[in-house]
Amino acid sequence: MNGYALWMLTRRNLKIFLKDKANVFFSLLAPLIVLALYVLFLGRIQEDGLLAALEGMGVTGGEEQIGAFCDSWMLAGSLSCACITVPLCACGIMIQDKARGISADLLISPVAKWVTPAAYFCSVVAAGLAIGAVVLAVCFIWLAAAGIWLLSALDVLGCIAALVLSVVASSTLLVFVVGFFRSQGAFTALNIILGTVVGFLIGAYMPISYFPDAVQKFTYFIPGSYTAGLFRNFMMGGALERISADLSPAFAEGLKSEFSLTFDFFGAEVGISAMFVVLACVAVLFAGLNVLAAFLRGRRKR
Amino acid sequence: MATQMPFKDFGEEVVRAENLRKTFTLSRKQQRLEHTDFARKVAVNGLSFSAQRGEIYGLLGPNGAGKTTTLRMLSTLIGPDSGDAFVCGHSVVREPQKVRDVIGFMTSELKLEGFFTPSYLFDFFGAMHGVEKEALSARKKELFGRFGIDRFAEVKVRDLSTGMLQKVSLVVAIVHDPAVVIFDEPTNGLDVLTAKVVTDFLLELKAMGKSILLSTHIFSLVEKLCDRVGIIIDGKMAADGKLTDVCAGRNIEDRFFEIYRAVRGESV
Repeated sequence: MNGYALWMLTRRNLKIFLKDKANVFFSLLAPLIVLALYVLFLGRIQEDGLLAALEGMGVTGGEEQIGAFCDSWMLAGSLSCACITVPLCACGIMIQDKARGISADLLISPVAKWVTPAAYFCSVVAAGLAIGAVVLAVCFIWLAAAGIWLLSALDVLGCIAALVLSVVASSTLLVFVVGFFRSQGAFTALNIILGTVVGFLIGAYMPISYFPDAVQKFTYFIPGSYTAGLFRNFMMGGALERISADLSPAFAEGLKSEFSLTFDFFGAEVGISAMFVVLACVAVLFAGLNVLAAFLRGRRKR
Repeated sequence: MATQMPFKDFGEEVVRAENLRKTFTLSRKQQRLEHTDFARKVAVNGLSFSAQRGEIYGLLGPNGAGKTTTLRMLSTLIGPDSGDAFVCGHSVVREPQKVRDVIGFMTSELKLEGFFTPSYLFDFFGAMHGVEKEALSARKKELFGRFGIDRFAEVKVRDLSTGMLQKVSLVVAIVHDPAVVIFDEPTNGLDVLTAKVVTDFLLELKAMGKSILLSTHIFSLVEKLCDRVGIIIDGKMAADGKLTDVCAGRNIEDRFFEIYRAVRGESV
């Protein structure tokens, strides 16, 4: 019975999220802003800056390679934002149910206590994966249509793995945080604040290396930075290799750290494997905290 | 009174509350609103009563008397600090899961998402209550037919009239065929037409053999619906029994204020 109830409740939560077109749009607002800013001026600024730097090294040309690199950087940033903002918006159903008293209806049904919170989590993950997959597909189409598809099969698989792990990690974290919210107003405030700053914090609007040292160190404690790091490695790796082969290996090496494809975490270099491990640890840690919080809420209710 | 062990054969007594007590911690804002310096409020203070099979029992009292808290304890949404209550013989403290199997909890608030259909919502809440598919289908046919929802089964909830919406909300709450229906303020905030839908629905449920426990502060509702009444003032049971016995030949409104004066030592 609990399994079927979990399935029905997850489906219901997912339907409510997907049927609300405005909510789906706003969940993609941050990625769309990244895209819009890039198309309007950020892309040009980045490209001009990198080409000038290249020229300073005595290398001319390279517009195509640099363009591919910048496009990939923007797409990685958009995708990373979506992995955070979509699960956040999907968490809205938790607040809606509390505000409308539906939580009470679910609580007095004879299903086990873990079913309702588990269904919220499953639906948040499902929403994140479904919309994340669409955004990932759009990114791939963009790269292919622009003639800058430089991804290997392994990169594609890496993107899919990063998407799954990032959505699970951000969902566990966000379900835990939103679980403390009671009012729609407070949740909306969180949504606006996170939606606004997330692009900066994970280096989607501008590379993290442009920020002051203290801010850079702060971003290392944000799980989204590792999501962005993974997507950058998989989506920009091919473009970077092409810059290295066609233009300048030293320049390509410099771009790797400047655009946070690897992190220097207090002296230790954080590569792809370490990024996966960090996200997995975040998922496990917050899954445990969610279980603990549900247990404590159950005790307090009694 | 010491809490007894749950009785296996609960006979005609479908709900029995024994010395229920519940206190809440007040925030500073709540203290300001309640004009009190005390950080704790006794919402329900040693409440005992019983409701009988096939009858409608009304908890009558002013706002803040402890009616909703009592119903929330009976429906296992919150636990009592002390005391216990038995619903169809199951303890709300020791067997909350079994209590949830036999109760339907309703409020007058509509909690239906506009893009779902009555049929979907019925199936959804049926799944939440573990109703088998075949039984669910038969019950949907019976209840939708009985309350005239069948013609609107596949119409989106947002396109239904308020009265029909209320019916759907009520029918969904009894999807699992509960023996006891608990209804907090059934007609609160409803217009007269929708309120009539609700009161008719309750009488229909009674005709179907359900036992109903409701809370209200509306005298006419008690007179129209209830077989028994419990008058709660300041979390305590001030009078309890058959409506005719409690009223003692007078109307419920006069009797209530007489009891209120006797308990509070003041006029309203």
